[in-house]
Amino acid sequence: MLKVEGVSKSYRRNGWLGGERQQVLRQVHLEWNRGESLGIIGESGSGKSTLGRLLLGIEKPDQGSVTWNGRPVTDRRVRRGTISAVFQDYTSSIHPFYTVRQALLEPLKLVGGQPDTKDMGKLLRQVGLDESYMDKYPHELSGGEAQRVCIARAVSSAPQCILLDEAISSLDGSVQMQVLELLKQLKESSGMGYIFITHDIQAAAFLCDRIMIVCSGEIVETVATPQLRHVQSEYAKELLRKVIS
Amino acid sequence: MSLLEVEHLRIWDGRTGVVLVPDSSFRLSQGECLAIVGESGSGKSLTCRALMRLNRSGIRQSGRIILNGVDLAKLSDKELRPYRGRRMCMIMQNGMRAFDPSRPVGAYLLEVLSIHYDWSRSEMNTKLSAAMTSVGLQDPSAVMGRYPHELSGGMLQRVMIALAIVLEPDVIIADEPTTALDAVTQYEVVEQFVQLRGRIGSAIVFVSHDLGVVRRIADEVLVMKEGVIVERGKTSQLFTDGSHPYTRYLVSSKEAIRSHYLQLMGGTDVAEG
Repeated sequence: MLKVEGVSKSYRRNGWLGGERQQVLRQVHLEWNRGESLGIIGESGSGKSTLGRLLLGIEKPDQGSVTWNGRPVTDRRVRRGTISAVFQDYTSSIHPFYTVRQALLEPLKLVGGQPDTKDMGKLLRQVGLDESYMDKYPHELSGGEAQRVCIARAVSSAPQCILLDEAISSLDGSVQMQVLELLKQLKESSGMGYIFITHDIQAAAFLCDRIMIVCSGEIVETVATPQLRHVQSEYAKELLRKVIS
Repeated sequence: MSLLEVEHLRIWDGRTGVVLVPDSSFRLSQGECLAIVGESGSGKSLTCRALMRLNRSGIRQSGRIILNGVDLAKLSDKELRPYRGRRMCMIMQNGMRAFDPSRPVGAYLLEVLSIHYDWSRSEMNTKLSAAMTSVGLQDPSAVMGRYPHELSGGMLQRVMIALAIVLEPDVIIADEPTTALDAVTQYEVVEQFVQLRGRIGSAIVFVSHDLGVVRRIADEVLVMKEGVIVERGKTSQLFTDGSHPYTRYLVSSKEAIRSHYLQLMGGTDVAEG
């Protein structure tokens, strides 16, 4: 279980010397349970990506704690093999000099296995690609293919949770759908859970069991997806009203 | 008579000879909004930029682009200049890259206006301020004093729309104007476009891969695939029974997410409600 307790985070606005601090997150509490997919929704600048980085342990909160089964996620050993990430910019997510094979091999080595070509072929087929992609470089892939490789890489260490930060936002509508379907399918087949950070409410409603709405660094409301239309807060209602379906 | 007629537009890479758009023809009437949809790499943006001859230098084009009876393809670069901006105005996807990063936004806007009109500086300022207020920019003079990187994507998009309002072009070409924005800002910018149509009689070419946005704004839709226009039709008709398999594929892929959402929300379309 991933648990966030009383987390606050601020950044200095102008460089690291002097300048006022801007509060990005205020007293955030959340729990993510195994096998669950949780959507985190908010406008740009709402602090959702900062929350994502704190959940991944790649940044430290000013206050509060982020723990995985009681242990802090900032410890690399805690998050290795338990939580992985897929980001929006698929072009910069894969080392440009690495082939798909090398990109997939790296996390497998980290979790300490003896990966072979067969395993990697299986991974690629899982995301709708095949062995012929093994020796391609990132620039030879389309956006959708590159993002699939990123997902395959995230899945490769068999984590319990994958954090996706706007992972489908820069893909074409039709490719978005394929990736969402893939995520759904992986969830059903291997019990993987997601933390899906996005501004796209429709996509979140499609994939997630629970949706959390973030505004100006605070959690406004958390709602089970089937109850989405019964949101209480004015902000959440406004947000839903502005969905272009 | 059509306002804009594009006939046998062909775009190719001058160095490799690879044909990117083999043969496109379409027309646009006064006040109409035509959406061009398709996946990345289908040639939507190439087509748009070709209308104003703005593709990078290696890209070659042929065919007729007739605006109000004048064939733009026959004009020299110098003769085309008064058309760019004034008669055909482009709204880009990425505001951050569309403006000059080294100068405040206002300086850029005034320069554009001074090329096309011989208005006085105060006249230009008044017109710009009015247009900026009308697109929801509360404090126009503050916005004009800012550099592009100090403004959000949504604000820059509004600045471009405001400029279009002042220029009153015949055709506005909007190339993925909402793609880089979050859902709320996207909604607001789309509303600005809807209002823009009511306010000035410009025709709009609206390029997008977001079918939800297209459904909201366009009268007609062109579907492009690998450089070829595979279908054209009225928006409502295309969404319900497109005849080309590719159209149906595009619509259906979004439809699963949309219908799931609408069902969750109780079967009513919140955007149109």
